[in-house]
Amino acid sequence: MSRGITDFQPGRLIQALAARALSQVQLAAMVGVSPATISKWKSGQQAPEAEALDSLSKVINVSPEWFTRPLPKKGSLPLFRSNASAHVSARAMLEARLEWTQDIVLAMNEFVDFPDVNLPVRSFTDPQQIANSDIEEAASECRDLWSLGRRAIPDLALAVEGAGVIVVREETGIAPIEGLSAWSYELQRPLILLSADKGNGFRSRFDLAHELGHLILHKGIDRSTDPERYKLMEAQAHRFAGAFLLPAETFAADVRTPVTLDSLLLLKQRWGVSVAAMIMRLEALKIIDADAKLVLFKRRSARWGAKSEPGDDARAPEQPRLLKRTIELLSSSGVMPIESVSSYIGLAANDVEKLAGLPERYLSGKASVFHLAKLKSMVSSDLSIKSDDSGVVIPFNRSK
Amino acid sequence: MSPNPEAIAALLIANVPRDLVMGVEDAFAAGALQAFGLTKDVSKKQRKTALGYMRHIQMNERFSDLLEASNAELISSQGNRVIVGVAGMFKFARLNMSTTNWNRPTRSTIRRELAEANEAMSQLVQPSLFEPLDVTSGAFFFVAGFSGSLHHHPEKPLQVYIAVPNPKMDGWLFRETLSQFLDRYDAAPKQADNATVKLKTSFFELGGQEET
Repeated sequence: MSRGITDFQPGRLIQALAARALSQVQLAAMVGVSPATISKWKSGQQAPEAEALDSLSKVINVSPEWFTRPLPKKGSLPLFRSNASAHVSARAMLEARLEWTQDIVLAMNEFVDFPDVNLPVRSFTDPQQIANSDIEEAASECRDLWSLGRRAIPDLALAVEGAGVIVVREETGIAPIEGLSAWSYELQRPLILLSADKGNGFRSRFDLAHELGHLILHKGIDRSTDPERYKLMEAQAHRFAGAFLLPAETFAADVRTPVTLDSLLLLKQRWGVSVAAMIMRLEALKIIDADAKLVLFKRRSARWGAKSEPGDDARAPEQPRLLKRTIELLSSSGVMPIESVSSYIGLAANDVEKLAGLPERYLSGKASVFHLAKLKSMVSSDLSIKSDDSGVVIPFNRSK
Repeated sequence: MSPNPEAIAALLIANVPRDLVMGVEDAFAAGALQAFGLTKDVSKKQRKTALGYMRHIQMNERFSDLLEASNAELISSQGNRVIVGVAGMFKFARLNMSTTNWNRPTRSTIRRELAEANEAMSQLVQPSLFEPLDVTSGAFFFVAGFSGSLHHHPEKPLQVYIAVPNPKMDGWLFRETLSQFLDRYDAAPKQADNATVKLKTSFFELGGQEET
């Protein structure tokens, strides 16, 4: 029997299968081995030989050496923000992407210090312990910690990253899952992955605030498959997002009663929150009752349909910048050339670019760059004057 | 001269709780509405005068309740006496005015005395030639501006202002509507950009590179 490479980490293969949303059979066909072989690699019974590993790494698009890197300690089980029961493989894919983000941060952590984690600390162990007043209080404390005042937050992603949270925003191809978040035990900091698929700046802000709510309120709470418990935790994260983005003291003062969709449309642009989310917040604050909420939602559907609202394009989705800045700093300070970043991390350049919010082909040095200026030396060589064409010097005689 | 009303606004914000300012909005609206209700059947010839008197009484009562509830009452309501509140280093009172006539609040001795405390603060607006005085006290008024007409919103103030008089009480060092002033409490400082990373110090010690 042939011997495989040493130090092959089956966990990496499992992670890669999830990240690429491939089944064992699909991967086997692509690598050119039997599904049983893949199964043995996964279980650790057997390790691939050098040639097979090379093929495997090409298919997965990672460096072969990446398969030998021990998996960091698993973080807390992520909480998914999904409005439908998303497929298991889709969840696994996003979880693996979040783990890859952790890998990137761990690698960068060797060279840089990320901002200190600065979040309100709560120690609830059961969602039932959390009252609405606790949520409002946590949201206020978070604003105070971050010196955000009580008005609209100009850039939520900037504030969240400034508090030491790693944020990734990428197109996942899984529209039903709008985001997920988890605490990394290895990094001792939280991670958030937001779906960029809907391209709606208002929803994206709310999704981010929702994940922030999970990270603060549900840090010490065991994950459960109980749908009631899941529903309660989702409702709590929603309430937190509303309270954080629309503080009672100032938002209530801004709202005209009786509430109309058009007055909320004006507030939408001021506060950066969708009309739908504002209606929910108004009910939470008891400014409107359940009947008034229903009427507003009915009018909203009748006038605008279910999916979008007027003015959705007015605010571009906020972009994370921390990982991008880290890679730029490493490059500009000479710690790591830009071309070496992906090989150092072990992931494909385009995966790192997507997770770090970098432009395409940035790490391969082939990003689209417009050269607007030429070096003097290039100019002089282009326009080198041939001796045959040499000009004639015409003397100007002043004293004619 | 370098006018700096912002410095006065900052002093007010630091001394006067937001809730007290919002309470004044509520007290004035409630007092004015009640005064209107109580005088709407008075004969036309006297209605304007009756409304003015009644506003004074009703708004004083509400204002007094507010100060008592906020534990901010210095001189309580008694007859025609000016009610004075205290918030931090400031003393304050209330005034009603017609929007067309702003500068005639000097009839009351108490108000004039209150305004004298603004000597030091006036230097924030107009610097003195002499040594600047420390601002340790001050006075301001909550001014309800009415239309002055029985036909145009007689039931409520058109605007309520927070106004800091000069020491002689013949002008204002600072004046702003309460709605504008309340925004100052909520204004977020310019959002700080803390989403930055720092190279670990060990890399500085190595000269910032480890190329082999």
